Amino acid sequence: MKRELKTTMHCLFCTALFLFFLTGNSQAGIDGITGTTFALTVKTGRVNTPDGASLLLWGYANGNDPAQYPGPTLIVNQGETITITLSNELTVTGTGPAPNVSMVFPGHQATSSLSNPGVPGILANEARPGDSVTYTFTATHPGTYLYYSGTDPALQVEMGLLGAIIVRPSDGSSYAYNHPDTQFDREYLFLLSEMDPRIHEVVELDGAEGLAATDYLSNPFPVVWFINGRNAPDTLDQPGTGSLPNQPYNSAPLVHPGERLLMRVIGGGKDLHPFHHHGNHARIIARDGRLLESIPGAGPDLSHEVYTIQSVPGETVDAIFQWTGKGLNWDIYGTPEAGPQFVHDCTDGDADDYDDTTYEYCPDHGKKFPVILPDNLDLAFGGFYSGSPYFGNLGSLPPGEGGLNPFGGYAFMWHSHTEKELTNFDIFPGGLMTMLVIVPQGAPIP
Amino acid sequence: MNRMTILSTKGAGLLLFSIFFLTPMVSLGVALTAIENEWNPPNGAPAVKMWGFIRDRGFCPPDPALWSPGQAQRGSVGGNFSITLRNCLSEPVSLIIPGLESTLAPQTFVDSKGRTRVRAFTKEVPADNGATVVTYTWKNLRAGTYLIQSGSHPAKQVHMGLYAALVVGMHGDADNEAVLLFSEIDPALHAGAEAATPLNYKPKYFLINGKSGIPGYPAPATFGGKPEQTLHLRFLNAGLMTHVPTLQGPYMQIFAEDGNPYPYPREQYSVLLPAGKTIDALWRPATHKFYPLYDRRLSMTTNGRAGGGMAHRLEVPGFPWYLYVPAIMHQKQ
Repeated sequence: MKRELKTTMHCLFCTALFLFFLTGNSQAGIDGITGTTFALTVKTGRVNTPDGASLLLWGYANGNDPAQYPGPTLIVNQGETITITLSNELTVTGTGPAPNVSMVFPGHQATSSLSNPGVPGILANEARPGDSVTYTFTATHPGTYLYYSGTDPALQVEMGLLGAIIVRPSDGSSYAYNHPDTQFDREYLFLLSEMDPRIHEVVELDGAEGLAATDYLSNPFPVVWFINGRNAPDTLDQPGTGSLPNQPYNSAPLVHPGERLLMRVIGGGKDLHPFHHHGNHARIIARDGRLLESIPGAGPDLSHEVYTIQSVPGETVDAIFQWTGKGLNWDIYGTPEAGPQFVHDCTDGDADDYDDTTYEYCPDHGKKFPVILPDNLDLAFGGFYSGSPYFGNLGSLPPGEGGLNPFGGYAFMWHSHTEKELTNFDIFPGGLMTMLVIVPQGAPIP
Repeated sequence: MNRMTILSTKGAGLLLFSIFFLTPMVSLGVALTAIENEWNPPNGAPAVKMWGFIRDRGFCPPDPALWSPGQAQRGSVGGNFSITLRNCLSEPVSLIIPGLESTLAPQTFVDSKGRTRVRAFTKEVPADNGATVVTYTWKNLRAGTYLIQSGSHPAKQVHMGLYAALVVGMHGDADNEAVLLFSEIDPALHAGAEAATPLNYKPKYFLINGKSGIPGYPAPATFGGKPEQTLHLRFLNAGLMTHVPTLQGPYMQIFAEDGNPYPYPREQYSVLLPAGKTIDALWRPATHKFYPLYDRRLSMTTNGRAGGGMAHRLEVPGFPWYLYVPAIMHQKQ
């Protein structure tokens, strides 16, 4: 049984990735909504998980759109005054009223407006059922932030009320902060969270009051883990896919060698999720939307490299990741011994050790692949294997094998290093996991 | 740029503490009694049996007050600090302060298989109904925030409530200070007469400074300094779980951990506070109001219900602020 499930999961995973490459419609950068005035609505929806479950969602929606998990990513510019009107259209099981809802903005000095103040709550002013509240804050500092419900957050964050905020610096949208060392070529969001289905079931069947008879809120036991509101392998499916109507965001990072990939990592849930990024170290440049700098203006001079980002609930981390193959000690673009098609130069005009076009690491140029590959008859294949160990090359494969890696890229798993979180309700693989694919220069990245 | 930053950039991290934690080098001491008492949950559930520290009165009080974490104590930088402890509990008890220097005398016992095993990190006060006292001394104190706790069967006795804060010095830029001691209570471990094991630890109550929020009511408050003055925040975790104290809106300058200064302060709105950890931070409230402070691991529940728990407020009073006295100054019985 377990083996069958594993096989099924594997196929799902392959199918998702196949669609992702076939359609070329993966999420470009970070999907979200822009502007200075937002109208968000809290309503119910469903979170579909790959183990076959469908969990009740309380989600933020963009106006009249469906509720979504996570809520809309708000992309704003430094210095702007942001106004958010939150409407409460939540409906609940049972005879009692729907709860109040709210938003808090850690790192921002938010206030509720005098004209639509809502009602006071513990952490923020709240919108009563059928009513609304308007919040205002100034995006004084660039960086990665989050928002979530400040109303009974132990319950409402669990139910899905959380989302990301990105503040673009005045230096421009290719910078994370106002310093040259924070420039990036591509950026991806990794909003990490978890759910305990028992809580969602009680709220759906009995209403939130039913939780009082349990210890689920004080001692949650999550069994599904998310990146950007999806579990693997759905993380790799297209954004906005019809099978996940309330989970519009995916997590499918693609990058060329040498490019600077900005990882925006947010701890959205209640647990720490050590986010382990295979392929290379990443340099942490900021936490909680503040550069790691010794004095203002110094730039990220206190930055440091890690291979597992410590993601803390409610905190954010910005990190720069680069991959070139440096240090592998063999020529990933192939050597003439492997065939005439691999003859190539490594031209380092600017003396940075890298080819000026392909970003090949020139000190490894011409070094032979150090392994004698077994015959195809002696191999089992994964969907990512291109049939060749060489970067950007497609080799021959038995019928029906491979096919998920049309550009001959290298795939690296990015995942929670709390390994039990690589499952969907105890079924491996899944959960808080996606694949970074390094693709050759020239391969399209949407 | 503040003075601290200038100094730090010159690589004077250690000097920083000695300069800015300006308190006279004196030896301080206090007499405490370990007693059994009770804590009343905020939801009307039955009282929970606790063990706590109270000021010593020279005997075992027949009717001890309700439980709270032990009174925060103050030591002086470079000086010694001592606690003379009387024991009114049913088993031996001792005291340790992780991170501070003292002479330990581990206590052993022989288990049922004849093996010699450690029972306590240092000399114990016997369970003799308060007849004897033992004095514990910590030497050459470093500036920072420390956790006083039981050194005997700590998996049980600390959870039973035998913990308190020790503060040493105060940051030179600070005008006021606030102690924020995080802990949890699992009533199931307090019910039986038998030694409870935390293996199946499932806390129901989540406390800051011994207080749980109550669902539907304003969160408990701690003095949070004065507007436009700098507050030295001292976070301690005496519980068994990780918490993430979060200040709603403003940023803090986190400058020390476990009594060790960082070379450069870290600007964050929240603090990762694992079990046994202490963190020192600075914060300058802009105006007089209540600032929400809560656990972002969302232990904001009360006996399973949403609300309450580790919801707290830092109270920055307006005029007349002088009526407010920092919690550390209270000498509550």
